Amino acid sequence: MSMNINHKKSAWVILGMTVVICVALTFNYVSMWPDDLILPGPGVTQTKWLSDYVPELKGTKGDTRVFILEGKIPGATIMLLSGHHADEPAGWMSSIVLVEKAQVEEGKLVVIPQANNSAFTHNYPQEAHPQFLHFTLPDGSKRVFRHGSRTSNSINHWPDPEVFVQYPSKQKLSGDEVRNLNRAYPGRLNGTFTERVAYAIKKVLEQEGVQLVIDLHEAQPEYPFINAIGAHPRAQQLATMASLGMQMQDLDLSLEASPEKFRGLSYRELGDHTKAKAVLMETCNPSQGKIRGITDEALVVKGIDAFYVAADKLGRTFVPYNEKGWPLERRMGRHLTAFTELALALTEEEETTFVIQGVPTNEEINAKGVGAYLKKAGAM
Amino acid sequence: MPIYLIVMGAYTLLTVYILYLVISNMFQSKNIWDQLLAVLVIIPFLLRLFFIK
Repeated sequence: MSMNINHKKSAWVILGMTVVICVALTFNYVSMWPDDLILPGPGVTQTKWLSDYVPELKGTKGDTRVFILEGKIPGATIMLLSGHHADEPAGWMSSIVLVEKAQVEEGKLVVIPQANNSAFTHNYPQEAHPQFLHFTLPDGSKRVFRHGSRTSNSINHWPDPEVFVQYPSKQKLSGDEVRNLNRAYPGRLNGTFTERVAYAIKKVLEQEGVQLVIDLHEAQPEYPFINAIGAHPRAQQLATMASLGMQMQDLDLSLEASPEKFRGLSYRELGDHTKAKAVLMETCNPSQGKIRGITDEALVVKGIDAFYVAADKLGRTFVPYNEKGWPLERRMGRHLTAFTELALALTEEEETTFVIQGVPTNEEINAKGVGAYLKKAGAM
Repeated sequence: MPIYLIVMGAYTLLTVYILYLVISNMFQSKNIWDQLLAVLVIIPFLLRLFFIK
């Protein structure tokens, strides 16, 4: 169909329209660049940055906050790592809750909620993933956090190779995995952007004297390594004790050994290259799965999906999946309970002490919701 | 010069060239619907040129 109009003028109008659309998309894109508001609670004794340990990261999106919660009485040092993958909120929201609410009385807790800060600056629009998650506090006020992606942003780490050759193992993985922080360990200072972040996290472990590092993740319901704990060989006993402790509370936590030939993962490489015992945990997140239905913020937060209910009835999921779904509170409750059990197991195994208050129990967070364990914005 | 900078330069030049072709084609076209269709091509290329997804 052709209209009798001046095609040069219409071309200029359409070009102008295109520029307007691009500017709008640009503002939408850069809206994920500012750091999230994380409000240190009364237990935080120091707020540092990765660049305090590795100055080369200063001024880059690889720099991220390191919260130290140190008790007045010496004891064990534990590190909670999360946000390797910014689309796995049960991990990083658990860390943020501890930063904002927990208080360590004996020992030291080092928390890096958003390990790959660059991954929080972009998301997966083609997966229909939301850019932000909103939480309502008991007083009705809101807190907002970015919901990012699995890998570093390609504006920070570019280009991807055809084949990613992992350092130093020379293991070959698909090209985009080069930006996956949980394949970049132990990292190197003169390596890629993502390897520098991994190197800096290893330096934090060394300088803070971390004895146990716990890395929090999520996985899709059809993935076999789910509601599970993976442990470095030196942390097997610890993970076994934590798994038993979880079962005592009717929370199944399957135990898996860290495969020796699957390199670059936090719990394998940090266990091999530092003195810390290292574990990694997974909960169930349907928004990451491939057979999910409508994908929006509600799916990420409430975890209700009819397709997964049907898949469960066909025996295609590795976790029970019913109409109640896997809400964020349930996933965080698992992570926080396992953290408590691991800390307890460490104190027994190494005959040390670690006392922490203000960690919500599984029942509490499920009953009150996530918002009840966040500080009000503006309150310090 | 690191190889990735050479690749990046070539990638950018290619993006600019394709953008030029599509925009010039849009100006030559006398069909408004073809011109509107060009928007769908221009937007992703323009965003790539400025490294905006």
